[in-house]
Amino acid sequence: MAAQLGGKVSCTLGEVKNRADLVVYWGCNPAECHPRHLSRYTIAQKGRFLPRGRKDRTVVVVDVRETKTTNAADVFLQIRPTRDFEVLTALRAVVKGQPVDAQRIAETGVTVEQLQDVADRMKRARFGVIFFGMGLTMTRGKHMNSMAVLTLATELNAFTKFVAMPMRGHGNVTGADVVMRWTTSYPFAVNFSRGYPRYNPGEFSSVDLLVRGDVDAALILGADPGATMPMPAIDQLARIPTVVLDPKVTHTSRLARVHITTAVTGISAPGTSYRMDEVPLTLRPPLRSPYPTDEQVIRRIHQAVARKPDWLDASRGSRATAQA
Amino acid sequence: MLRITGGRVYDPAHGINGVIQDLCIADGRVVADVVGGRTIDATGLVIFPGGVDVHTHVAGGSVNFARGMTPEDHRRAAAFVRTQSHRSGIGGMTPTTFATGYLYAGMGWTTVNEAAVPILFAKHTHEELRDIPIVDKCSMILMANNEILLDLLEAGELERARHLVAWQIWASKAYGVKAVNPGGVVSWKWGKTAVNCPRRSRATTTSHPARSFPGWPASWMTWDFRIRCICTAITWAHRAMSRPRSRP
Repeated sequence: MAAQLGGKVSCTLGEVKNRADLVVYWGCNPAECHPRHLSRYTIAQKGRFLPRGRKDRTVVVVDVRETKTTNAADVFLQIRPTRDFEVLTALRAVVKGQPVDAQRIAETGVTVEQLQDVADRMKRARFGVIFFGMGLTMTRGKHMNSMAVLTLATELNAFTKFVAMPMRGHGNVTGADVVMRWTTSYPFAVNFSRGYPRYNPGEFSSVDLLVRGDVDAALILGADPGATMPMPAIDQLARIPTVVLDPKVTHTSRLARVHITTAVTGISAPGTSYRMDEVPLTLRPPLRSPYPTDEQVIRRIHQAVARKPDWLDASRGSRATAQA
Repeated sequence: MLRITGGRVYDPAHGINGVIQDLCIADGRVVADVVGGRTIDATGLVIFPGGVDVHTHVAGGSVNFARGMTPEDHRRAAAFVRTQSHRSGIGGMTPTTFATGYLYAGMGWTTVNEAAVPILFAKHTHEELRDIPIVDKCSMILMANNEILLDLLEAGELERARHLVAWQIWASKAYGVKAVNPGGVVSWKWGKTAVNCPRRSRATTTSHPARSFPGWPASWMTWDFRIRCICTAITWAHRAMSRPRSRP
């Protein structure tokens, strides 16, 4: 969503692995949330142009608290909660050599000297990358924070090579995003009720639809909103017929009317998963499962729905009646 | 059997330039005449062979990124409403896959070639092409900035480079090779342009097997001119593959 405001400079994780001599983590904790990320792509990994691995990389972490990731960092900026946008804006000014107010920067929990140090490291880097997580994108400021971090990366390209990438979670969320874009032209929050895709985050996003009580049924695939959504949305999911496809018992499956157990994609079901840099990966399952795959279940539901009369004809009929 | 009457026929391959005449089709082929069957009145319309768009960008990582970035364009673009026969979609600068098929077919195109596929995104591109209805699709793989290929060229390993080109075409299920901004993207990965490409070939002019190609100007054999070097090598590899081998 932030890319819609100011564009995005990105790359693949292979480029990060082979080139990034400065890695910034902002509002994320990959050591615990993306456990293979640090070892495969950044800290522990030797790259083609970084033959000494960790010794060739500088790691900067910006977070509101100490985590396993901050322990592994060369530089840790501990900022006050909800001050990400201010710090990012000040950092953009410092990078460009503009005057900043030390008093107001102090309110964010860091000092001008710390920002100057990070800005210098960023400009000195041969290839810099900023990974940003939900600590940035889902706190006060939300997509405006993401826009600020993407803009910082864009502006740093006046000095050196710099990219920014969101740390996405929840399995194949990138894949859902990618498929929605090619089928509807929008990444999420798409409404088909008029027979064509319409997009309006805040109006058609699932949390908003549930909280307002606009939906009277829900089909949930590969997600656990019962664990992550705000309470009013969860209450609505419990109230309406909710169908969950999931290999495991989750918070959502417990409150659902129907829980269909499916095979685990990648372990006992084949498919394609999109990595967070949008590179598609083929999944070849090593095991078999007694359960059907998500695709098989959805196809069978679709076949059953297709036998029903077409809703467009039905809606045309009612419209004609209304006009009469 | 089909008869299309009253249309203005353009068929450059047969020298027909805007003649109003009937067109008859039987068993999928154009024939002189048919008796009976269906008739379409094309009075006031143009009849021409299905267009082949050899260079388009309708699918893949870059197009899909653009889709996500331009919701304001999609809001004002033509919406494709779902019907019994059509899937829904959005037109505009970067139409959705189904809309792309309907738009191309509406303009008289029957084949489109997605002309820039990085190998890492080939699978994604094919998934999108599969969702483009009506028209035939193919794609070309980008190779002028492929790190593995450039490594082989730097080392002067031309035979292996040729095998790599062949393997990449096979692996990406591409129709051919495309060279865009040779050496430039490699440089861009350090924030630089093709002029200061960090790559330099060690192969010498004399060891260049493309010398054996008849009709190639000697000036093309200067390997140290990097952009031309990459293009020459790819073209050589590609030609060496498509050349008939076993014929006398």
